[in-house]
Amino acid sequence: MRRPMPSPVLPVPERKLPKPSLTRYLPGLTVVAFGLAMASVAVTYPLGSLLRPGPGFFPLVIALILAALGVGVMVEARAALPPEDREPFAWRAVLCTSAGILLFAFLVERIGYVPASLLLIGTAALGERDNDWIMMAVVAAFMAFFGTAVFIWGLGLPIRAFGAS
Amino acid sequence: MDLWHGIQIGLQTALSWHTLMFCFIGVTVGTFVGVLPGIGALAAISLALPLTYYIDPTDALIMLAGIFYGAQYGGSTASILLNLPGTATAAITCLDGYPLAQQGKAPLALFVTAVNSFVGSSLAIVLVMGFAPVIAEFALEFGSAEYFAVILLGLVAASTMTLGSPFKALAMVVFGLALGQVGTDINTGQFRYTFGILELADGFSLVAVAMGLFGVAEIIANIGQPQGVLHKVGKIRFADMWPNRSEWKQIWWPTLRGTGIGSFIGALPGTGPGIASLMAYAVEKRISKTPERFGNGALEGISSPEAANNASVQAAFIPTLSLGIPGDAVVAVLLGAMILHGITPGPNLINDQPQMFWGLIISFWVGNLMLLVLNIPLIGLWVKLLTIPYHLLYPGVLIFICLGVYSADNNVFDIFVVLGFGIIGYVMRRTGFPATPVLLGFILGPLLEEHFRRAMLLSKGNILIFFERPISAVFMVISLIFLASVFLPGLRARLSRGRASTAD
Repeated sequence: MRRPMPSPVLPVPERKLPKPSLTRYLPGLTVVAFGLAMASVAVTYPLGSLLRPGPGFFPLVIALILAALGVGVMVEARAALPPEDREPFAWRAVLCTSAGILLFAFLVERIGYVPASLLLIGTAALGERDNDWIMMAVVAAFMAFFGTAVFIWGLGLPIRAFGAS
Repeated sequence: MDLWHGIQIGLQTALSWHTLMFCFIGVTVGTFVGVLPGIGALAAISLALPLTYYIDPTDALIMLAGIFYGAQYGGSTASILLNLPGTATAAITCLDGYPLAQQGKAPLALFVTAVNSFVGSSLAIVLVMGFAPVIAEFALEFGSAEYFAVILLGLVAASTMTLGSPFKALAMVVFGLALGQVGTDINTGQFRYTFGILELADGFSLVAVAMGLFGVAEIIANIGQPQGVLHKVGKIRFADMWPNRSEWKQIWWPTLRGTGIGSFIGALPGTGPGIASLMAYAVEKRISKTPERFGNGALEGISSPEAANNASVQAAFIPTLSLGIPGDAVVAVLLGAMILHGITPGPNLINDQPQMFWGLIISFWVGNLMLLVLNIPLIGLWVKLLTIPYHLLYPGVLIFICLGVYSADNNVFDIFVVLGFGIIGYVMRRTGFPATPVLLGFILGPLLEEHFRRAMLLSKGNILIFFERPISAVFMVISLIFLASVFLPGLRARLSRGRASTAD
């Protein structure tokens, strides 16, 4: 039986084709590639023998098993239904979080904990679309004080609240 | 050493004021992270791990364990009120907990889950006290072949008894093993996969890997997501909480069944509360005379899984404390904590560190009592917590993560590692690769290799040694059965059909 047309005027929306097959295999392929890369490094270490396995033996076995499982993931992806539409990859969240953490890591020993933590909070908060910046400032002030009290005064981390350590 | 003597030692340890304090901090933090969706027990424990360097190892373990089982209590609160599991293991509680809240029975549901959690935990603790010493005694005979086999079983069980694709889970366990290879080979001193980076000579830091995969990845995934709508609870009065007689009757047996299932699943190495609560729900629905009530607010549908996940959390300590093999990924981090504190987990633990073993177990009782108080009279406090917008929380959590990994080694390098694993963890989550097996593999990998190499040396390179020694053979055969269930699709289909029909 044919489905009734929604309306003669509106164009019938094309049935969505499955995504290009490459993306579907990408996860499995990544696992295979990782396994092979790991194996290629493992063979540069002494392999030893079963009697006395060397430092390269175990990594090589692991790497080959990993590559094989990657093939399994790819085979499974072939049989699976195309993934339904989900929310897009959170580029913005990834970028803002990464930038915030990187800033903190590079600066905490150079300009001190308080300014570094303020930068981290400010940058990471950009990941959210609408922010309550006043509340965020309160959070930042709290974290600046709390972190200093617990980690620097309390636990004695070798960083300073302000300035290079 | 007999049980009674052990309990006395345990009471002495667990009831000292500082231990009580750390136990209280642990269960409170546990409830806190359990209630809040987006921060799990794993992230919280790895966050607290560096802080415990400064305290006594027994206190440290008691506190970390408290976070673990405390989170199981808290996890159900968000499930019931927000239809959003506070912890992954509380997902099942959403199925019937949220409908109960919609019917205005939220206080009853919260009470029932707290009581069930308590009963499930308490009974499972008795099992830990009974079984762990016996298994440890038995395990004193274990050689490297047996250890290799039992670790392998743990890894295989953890990755094949999973909800998603078993291939992906297996791949992730092996990925974890691969990560564990980074660093200096202990037998020969050879640097492996360090690529000239001096900081990697000791391998990746456990804290950085765990916080990346579970903390940072979780935050990235949650940023920009709309927050769930809190179901109006109003004022919670004790009279609304207390079940009437027929409701008591309704939850009595499911609680015991859930405890049984949870204890069994939890005691298996590698399988945790997630599977336990799912199985408990499935069983309850299967044997119910009125399965159509499930999903529409059946009390059995929350009481059995809640009892099961708490029981499994406590029972997970059976293999951990007796064999040194973690029963679950979270316990694996606890095991990592023990190793960092210079304590070798294994069958000798009970004899070498009786005050730690018994103190920990008695602290479970104490902690669960505290949780009962925290979760029944003080439930209103936790409900308020759910109204805090997430976007105000995560920047603070990010700072804790950065400071936490930094404090573990006073090294900025670990902050880069945590970010790297955070991004990997987010991509894995997007593509359906589970993160817990990675951690399990990462922690157990070095042990697995060590025992493999030792077994090979002792058996003069005879790989069949694992099947020739009887105990090791049993573990190997069970592992093979698990693997066969993945590679022989028919068997798996039959298993999962039974599961799927009940889970929906």
